[in-house]
Amino acid sequence: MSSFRLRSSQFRREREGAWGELEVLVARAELRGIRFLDAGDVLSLAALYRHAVGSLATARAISLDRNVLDYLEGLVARAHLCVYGYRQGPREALAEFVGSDFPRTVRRFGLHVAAALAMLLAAVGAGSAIVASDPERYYDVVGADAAQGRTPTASTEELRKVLYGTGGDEAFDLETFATFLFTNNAKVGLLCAATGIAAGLPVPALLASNGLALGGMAELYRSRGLAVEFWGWILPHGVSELLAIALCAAAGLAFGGALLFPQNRTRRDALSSIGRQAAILVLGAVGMFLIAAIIEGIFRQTVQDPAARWAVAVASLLLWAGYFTFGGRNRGRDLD
Amino acid sequence: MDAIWTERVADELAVVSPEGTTVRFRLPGPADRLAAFLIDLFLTQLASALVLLAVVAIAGVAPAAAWAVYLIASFFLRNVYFAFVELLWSGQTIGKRQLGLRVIARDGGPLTGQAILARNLTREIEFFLPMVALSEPRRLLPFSEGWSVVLAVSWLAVFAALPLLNREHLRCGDFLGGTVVVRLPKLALLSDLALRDTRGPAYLFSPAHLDVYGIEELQVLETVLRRAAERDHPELVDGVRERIQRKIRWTAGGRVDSVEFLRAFYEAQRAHLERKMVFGVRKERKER
Repeated sequence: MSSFRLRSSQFRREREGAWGELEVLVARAELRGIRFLDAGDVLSLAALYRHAVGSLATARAISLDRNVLDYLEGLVARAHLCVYGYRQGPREALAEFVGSDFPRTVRRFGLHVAAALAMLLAAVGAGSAIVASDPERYYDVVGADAAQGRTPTASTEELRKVLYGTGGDEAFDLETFATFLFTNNAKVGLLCAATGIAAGLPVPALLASNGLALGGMAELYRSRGLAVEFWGWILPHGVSELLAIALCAAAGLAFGGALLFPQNRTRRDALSSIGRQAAILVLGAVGMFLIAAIIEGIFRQTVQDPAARWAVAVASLLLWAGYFTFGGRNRGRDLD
Repeated sequence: MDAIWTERVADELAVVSPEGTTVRFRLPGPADRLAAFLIDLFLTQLASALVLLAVVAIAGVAPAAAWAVYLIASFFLRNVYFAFVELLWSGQTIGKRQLGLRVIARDGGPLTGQAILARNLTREIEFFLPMVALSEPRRLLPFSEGWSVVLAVSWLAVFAALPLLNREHLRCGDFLGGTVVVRLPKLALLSDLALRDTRGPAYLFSPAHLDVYGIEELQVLETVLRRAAERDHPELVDGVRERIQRKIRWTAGGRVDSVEFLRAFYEAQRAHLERKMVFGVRKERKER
């Protein structure tokens, strides 16, 4: 058959072979991933995609065959995702996050992180000063649930036992670990939710409550001559955990800053761009909380020597400092 | 005739490709999203239960610790599952594959690992955290069980309501990751109704006959013909033929075969409208 009564029928007849080829390639790329296509297939996928884009543009102009139009719309949409929506595999994504995105974002928000750390340390100092001036006010700065028996009425021996307790049987450990996981996540979640709603205002309050409790407890132990042991008990995981809290707080501060001072962007644009970077900070912080939980749940139960505990604390501080200072510097790609 | 016509709905996401063509994606409704999530949720919880069973069978855990084992297993499995599978299958999970959904970047560009991590780990805050809190309310607010439940439920409700309140049904995680979930279109290229043997049209129409209807009616007719081609619908095609004949005032001497008439009319009408379109006139629908 050589002639067609409709131009659109002729148009379709000339091109539908290429569309079919593209459809097969797209199905294969979707099922296994474009990385599993060989080089020739990838090249023809790109060429056939451009051909189909041309077909779609023409069909929109000359054809009224709804089935052809819908088919081409769908084909181009799916092929577009294969060609442009290329993805990273799990390994590349993790490597990019750990090796580049996370430390670079921390550096970008260096001022916010520093401010959050300063607030946290100031709160620790204030907490210990309050308890030093009047031990009665211990209960004001350390909540009853955080104290867990570590109160001024406890004997020095009891306080010491907390630092070197082995935590009992295995089942108990698991339970504390689960609780830990939950409370840490709650902490992150609360920080994020609170900052999102209230423009970062709750951040100083959260930092203060964390820091005051820590300072108050430290002062209680110092007054019994257990300062070195106490910090040896807190810091191995505390370095990671406090840094992570500071990162979450920095994310909250940045978010609040974008909400209050969007500068030359619309508020919506400023928030979504900051939101993405804040998400990186919080994600990294979640990882740091996990590391802290593992150190606390496993290392602290098995290692009782204060010197070893201090060594781990100092080492983790140096590691984090080095990681955040030098991590991802050699990567050329710029963040959004 | 209106009953079989599905209007092109507004729930579309248009992305301009680097070639300069608008690529359109259909957006799924909240029900599809929920169904996909429930499938994935079921799978991860099933896996967590299996881990718990294995731990109990091998190590023999005390009942008090069983819940802790389950929480830990579920925490790791769900976080690893969602992020890992979406990275592996470029924006699909098992549930999304079942329902033909896929995550894409809102600007149509590459879906980065960063975006996938952001949209999936946010689930922890959006859903799992309040759920765990509901299972043990005292951990949320130690002083009051009742207020804990109220807080957890309203937390869940806020995040669950968010996708219902924006056109693209974005979750909190989608906002953060810059992503959107779209429906993968099904591809079916059916035969060309206008392409027939060389016998020539069975019935002839004058330009006056063809100036009555527009593109919308043509495509309704296409749907009718495709239905009739699948299975015989004598009363449908007869009814449509009678309405068309009456509307365009077309009469014939003898008996008219409905399917033949409709096919001939479809072809003539499409040729007529496509010719007008080439000259820049799009007649969308008939004048009432």
